[in-house]
Amino acid sequence: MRTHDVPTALGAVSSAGVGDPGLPAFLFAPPRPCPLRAGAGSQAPESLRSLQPASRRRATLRCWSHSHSAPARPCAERQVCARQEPRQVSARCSWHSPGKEVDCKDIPGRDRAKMSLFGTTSGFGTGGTSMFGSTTTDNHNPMKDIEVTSSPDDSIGCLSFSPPTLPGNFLIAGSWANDVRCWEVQDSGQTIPKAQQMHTGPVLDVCWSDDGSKVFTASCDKTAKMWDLNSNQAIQIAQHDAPVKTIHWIKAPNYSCVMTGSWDKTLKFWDTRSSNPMMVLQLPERCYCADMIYPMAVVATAERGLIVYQLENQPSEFRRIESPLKHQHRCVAIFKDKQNKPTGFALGSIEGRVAIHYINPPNPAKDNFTFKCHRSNGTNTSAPQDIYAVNGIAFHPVHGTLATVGSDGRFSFWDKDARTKLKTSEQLDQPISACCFNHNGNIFAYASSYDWSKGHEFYNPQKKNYIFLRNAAEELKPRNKK
Amino acid sequence: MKEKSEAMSLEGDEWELSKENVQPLRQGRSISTLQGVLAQQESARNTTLQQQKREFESEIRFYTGNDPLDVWDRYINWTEQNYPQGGKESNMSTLLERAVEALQGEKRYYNDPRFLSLWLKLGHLCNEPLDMYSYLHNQGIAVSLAQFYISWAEEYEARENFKKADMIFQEGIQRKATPLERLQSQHRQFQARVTRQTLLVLEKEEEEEDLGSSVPQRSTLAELKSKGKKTARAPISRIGGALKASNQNRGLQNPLPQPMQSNSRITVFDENADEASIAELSKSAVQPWIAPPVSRAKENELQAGPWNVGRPLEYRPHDNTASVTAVPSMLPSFTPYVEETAQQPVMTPCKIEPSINHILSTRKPGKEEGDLLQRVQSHQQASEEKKDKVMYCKEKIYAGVGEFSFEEIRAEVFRKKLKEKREAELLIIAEKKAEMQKQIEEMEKKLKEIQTTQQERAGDQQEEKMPTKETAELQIASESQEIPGMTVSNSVCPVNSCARETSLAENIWQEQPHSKGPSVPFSIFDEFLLSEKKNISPPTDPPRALVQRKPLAVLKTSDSINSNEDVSPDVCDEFTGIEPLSEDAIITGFRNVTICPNPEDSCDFARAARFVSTPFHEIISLKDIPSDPERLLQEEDLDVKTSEDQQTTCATIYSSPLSIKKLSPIIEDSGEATHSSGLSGSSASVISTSSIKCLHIPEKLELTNEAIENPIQSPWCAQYRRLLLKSQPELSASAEFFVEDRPMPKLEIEKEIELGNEDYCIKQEYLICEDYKLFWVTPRNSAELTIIKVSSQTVPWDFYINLKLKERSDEECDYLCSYYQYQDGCIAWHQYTNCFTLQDLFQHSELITHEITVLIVYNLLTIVEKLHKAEIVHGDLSPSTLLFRNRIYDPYDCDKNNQALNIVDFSYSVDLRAQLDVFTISGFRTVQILEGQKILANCSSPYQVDLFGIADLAHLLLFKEHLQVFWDGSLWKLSQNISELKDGELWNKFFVRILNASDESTVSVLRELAAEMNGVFDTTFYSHLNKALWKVGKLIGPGALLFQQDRQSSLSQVPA
Repeated sequence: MRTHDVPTALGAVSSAGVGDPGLPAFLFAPPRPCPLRAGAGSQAPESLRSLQPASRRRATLRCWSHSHSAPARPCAERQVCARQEPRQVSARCSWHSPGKEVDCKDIPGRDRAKMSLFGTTSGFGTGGTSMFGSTTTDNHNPMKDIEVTSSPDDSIGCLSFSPPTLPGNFLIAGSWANDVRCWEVQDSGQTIPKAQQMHTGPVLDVCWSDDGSKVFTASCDKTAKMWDLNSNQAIQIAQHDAPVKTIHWIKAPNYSCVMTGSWDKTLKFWDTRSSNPMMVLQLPERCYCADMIYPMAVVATAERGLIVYQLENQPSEFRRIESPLKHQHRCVAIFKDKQNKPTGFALGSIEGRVAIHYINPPNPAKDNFTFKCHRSNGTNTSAPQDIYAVNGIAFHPVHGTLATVGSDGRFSFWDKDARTKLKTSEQLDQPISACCFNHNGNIFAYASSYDWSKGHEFYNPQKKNYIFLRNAAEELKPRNKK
Repeated sequence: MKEKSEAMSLEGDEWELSKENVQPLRQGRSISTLQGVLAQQESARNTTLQQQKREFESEIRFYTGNDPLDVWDRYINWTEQNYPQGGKESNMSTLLERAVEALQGEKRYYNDPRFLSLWLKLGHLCNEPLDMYSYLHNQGIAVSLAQFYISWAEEYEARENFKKADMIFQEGIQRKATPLERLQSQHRQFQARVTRQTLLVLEKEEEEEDLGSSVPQRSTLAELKSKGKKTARAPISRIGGALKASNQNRGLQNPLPQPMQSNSRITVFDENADEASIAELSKSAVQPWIAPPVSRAKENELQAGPWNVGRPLEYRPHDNTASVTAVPSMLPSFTPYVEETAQQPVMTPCKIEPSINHILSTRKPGKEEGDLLQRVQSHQQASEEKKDKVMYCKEKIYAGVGEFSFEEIRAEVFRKKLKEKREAELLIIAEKKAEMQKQIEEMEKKLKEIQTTQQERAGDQQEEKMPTKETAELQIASESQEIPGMTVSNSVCPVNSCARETSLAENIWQEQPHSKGPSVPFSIFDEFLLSEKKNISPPTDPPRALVQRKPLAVLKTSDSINSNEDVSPDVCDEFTGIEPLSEDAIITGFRNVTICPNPEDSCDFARAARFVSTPFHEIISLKDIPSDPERLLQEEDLDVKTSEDQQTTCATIYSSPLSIKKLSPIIEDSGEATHSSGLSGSSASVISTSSIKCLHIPEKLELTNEAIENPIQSPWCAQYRRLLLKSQPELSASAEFFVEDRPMPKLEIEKEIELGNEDYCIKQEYLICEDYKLFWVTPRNSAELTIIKVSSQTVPWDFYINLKLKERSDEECDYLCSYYQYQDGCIAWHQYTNCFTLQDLFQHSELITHEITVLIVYNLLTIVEKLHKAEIVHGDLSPSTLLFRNRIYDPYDCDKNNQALNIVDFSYSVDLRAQLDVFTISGFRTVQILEGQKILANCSSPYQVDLFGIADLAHLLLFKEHLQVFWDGSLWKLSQNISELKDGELWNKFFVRILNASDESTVSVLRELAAEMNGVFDTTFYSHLNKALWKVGKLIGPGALLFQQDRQSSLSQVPA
């Protein structure tokens, strides 16, 4: 039960469902029946069996919600309606006490993804509006996206969604208030705060282990921690001489480790149980950003350093690349080719530009390119153009398109193959400091908080920080090629 | 000494050996820095240099004072001194450039000699320093500084343009540049040099003319080979009149075409126009500076092409058109022909593979092209003609030589704030400390007065009490002035130092910015609240599990939790959460090195990873599986996942129960996970009380800082104990020790728990202490009440002590005790039936008869003697740790006088055989209870702690209050009058002996006392004793208590 179930810190799927009776709760069955712990007793198989009927029942609910999903249908109302069916609610919240679920065994199962707000169907964008009724003039949420509850008290430095191995979607955010928070994101868009861990310094990066049982956090306190969600314990797993800027979990066939990049100009590889690193690689400069998709890792450093590593057998430097950008590196994201192999990366700079760079392109001069982004009034020559930093890049896991977020408080979606912009958001009143997609690309999360781009003088601690969720299924579809 | 001198000579060698690597500096170099720099190893040097550099960099960015030049000045000087070889590594040119850029707008620095020196250094690095001088002159920078004119003139002099040099001097004098004297003297020297030189030339000429027997003739074909590769120029050799003419002008004419002139406009050189005015000079000199060159980091800019193609109006290949407003009119109307090839940068042919030899790599053309000065100027003008505006704090990002990211800037601010707060904190503490010291001094004076009066009246017993009372009052007074978080003690005391650290850490924590603003705390969604609302009975496990844990954490205040988890980064620099690996056989090779030292050997890395991730340590030792490496190798085949899981549970024994499905706002680590929490269980509260109590007036009133200087690890620290236990793998082999790989079962009254293979019914929660609780339980098929001790300790310390005690004393133990170690605590089951703690006895103090007192004290003496023989100090002999076995149920073992007492708790015990680093008595529980007693001040051996413990208990039994002693000049005596007691003589002897044991072996003291006490036991004594015990058993025995309880509950049930 333990390995594949939802970690304790995230709570049982069933109990989480209570918060939102109208919508799917445990329609995401564990990937496969799992070995049971002795303590779980003989009831567990039953609970597994009961899954099937539950998801079937969902199908009916979906139909219902569809018939009502006129553009601005308040979500709350849906919930109210759903509460009128207490029996189902009770059934849903009893993942661990399966004796109670008895009925609804005869409804045929349906494609589960389609019944949710974050499913492939459209209509989520409009649904979000009514959820919060924020029709006021302030433009903290001009895109009318879903707001994550209890967002951190200080700037949000990093976001990460749970891997596909975990049923449901869990969002982790690290902030400058030294904390790491975890929410469950339900398919309705509702977010439920689940757990929190503290560092003694701001948290600069987070990542998940491949099985979703652990979260790794990198902090300004020069350490990295492993947060075991089963026990809700965090232990230190890494130590640097300077703040740790990046952290990635590497799962290779023959080893697994945590890669940390720090401002002490080293890249270290840690087994989570040893206080000594398995390997230390020197970087030419401070590590500013990194990304990893096995078997490739790319690290961008200060003074425009750019190094690609290969991770097969063991991590080793593959190539140093002369930076395609002329300003400070700020964010990097690896993208994959059609065969789902990492093939290149997108690098964002502090001065409004993103470079698309392939590792082994057939025609380097043509295939690699840079494009401008996060700049104001692009073509108007009379006024000077405002240039902002690119704070984050994320690739859509399905479509291969990408999203960039910037200090200008906008996010943009791009199709790198067609070399076109798909969408640019309205301007938020604060910079967008981080972004990410969930594992199936249905949710785009972005954090609106001050990114320090104008120095401390412009920092307003009173300003609230937000994390928004947006349905990304449609908007990131690449343009049809003609 | 010899070594030192050798070192010195070596240092000297360093300098001798690398003279050629040191660039000369005008102001000289500090030899110590130089030698330091040269002698240091490459890596070590790099780290320190980088660190210092980084400090400068951040200082530049976060400088808040009103003299930014100062930082730059220091930074540049530091760079000069620490990079004697100069070169690219030092980044000197970039640094100067940035400095000049940053300070350019600051008019107040224009006549600051430091600013000038900055410029002069920049001038040395650039190709055309004369341009720089004229630029400075034009801008009005440093025009009132003598040094400016001196350097400028020097530059001209070096180019043999004496006339200009002289003009410069004259202008300086005219402008009354300061210090004028220096300028004038320099001018005079210059003139002297020039005259001497011209005279020499003239003399030479005369000589030549005198010698001139042969008139110089042009030699045919001599030296007519062209010189220079690209632009061939034949050497000129003239004779006759032509020679004369050129010689006359030699001194006053610049032989090289002056670059600035050729750049500005095409002027035909006119030998006769020597009287070019100063005004003209400055005017023409400025011109090249008007046009800014391309800024370095501009994107998508057209590359500069051949300048004469298509852009006839531009006179410089890399000029921007933007501000070439005034110049065009002065351009010549013709386009000079330039060969295509002439402009191509010449590349050094490179045949060496650059990847092999980094030193001889090809020079990249055009990268560092362009003069520093031009860039500086361009920076100034860039802002005016920018087409785009950068919306981030670029000046901060690129302030120094390097760049900073937003996060780095922010982290720096964060770090600074933290540091400031900490310093402020320390300052306050220091102030308070000083204040306290004053008070202490005052009190010391008073005390002395009191003591003198005391000595005067030494004879009088009645008046003797007065002064002691007064001292007591003083103590109280001083205690009330105690500031929390601060301790003043005269002994090196690990606990105190810990307390100080933790309190400091707490303070820092509290002020960290996360708690700012009126922001709502992160409230974690409570599923159970909701489910309860809906009348759905929640799954039984999770909430109970919480409830079960709570009682044990009763005394863990939120403060203690805070201090546990939020130790400031400095405090917890070392690894805390990670279990050190001690399986040396496996890890030796990897322990202190990077696991994969050889980057070529790829399987090495993977193997290393497997080694480390294979579960082997904790679970093996605890579960009594022999840890052999071969077995581990086999385990490599295991599914990674399962092994990982196993590992997480066993490597972190302290992980909280897995069955807890419910989340609470999180206690980050369990107490055992971090270092500072190591003082076990309730440490924090204990510490805080002790730190408050610490302010007593000791014999020597001194404030020592030793406690801070040696932060000794507390011997009671769980971490420490765990380590100790780890080295004793045979522990787990004991039949009485059971490791349960699960959380502790929940304990509820009238519920059953399973211990080993037996079920026990919990009857009553009997005693709640800070660290543990006692329950009365009955086995399933019996009514016998036995005791279990439940603690949240994850280190089976009680068991360890008991085991060692048995091992070392070679005595058969007459009772049984089993230990059950869980993931989050420990349960010890004691076989004793119908027993109770001394605490109960004290609650019924009327039952404590003389006989019982004697019995208890006698037993204490024997028990402690046994402990001390085994080199164990109990440290906490208090009523709650001692079980009194009611012998009323076993009246025939009266000869076993020495088995009336048993110890249930060893939390504060120290095994001096294993814990060799315990030297002081501070930190023991007994000491904390007796805090303030002067007698403690002159004790040194930890063993004495137990003597005081016994004395204190005896005192409690006799007088119902804690020990109070005084020094009567020769001996420590009780403040209470013993003589009135029954057997007063015996007790008097007892206390005098036990309090004045000083350095004697405690074992012998205890034996002696026990023997003495044994004399009291006689038949009448026994009959009295039995009577008393019977009474005790009837009234406060567990059966009696339970019975009372039952009756009460039944009574209360009736009305309902």
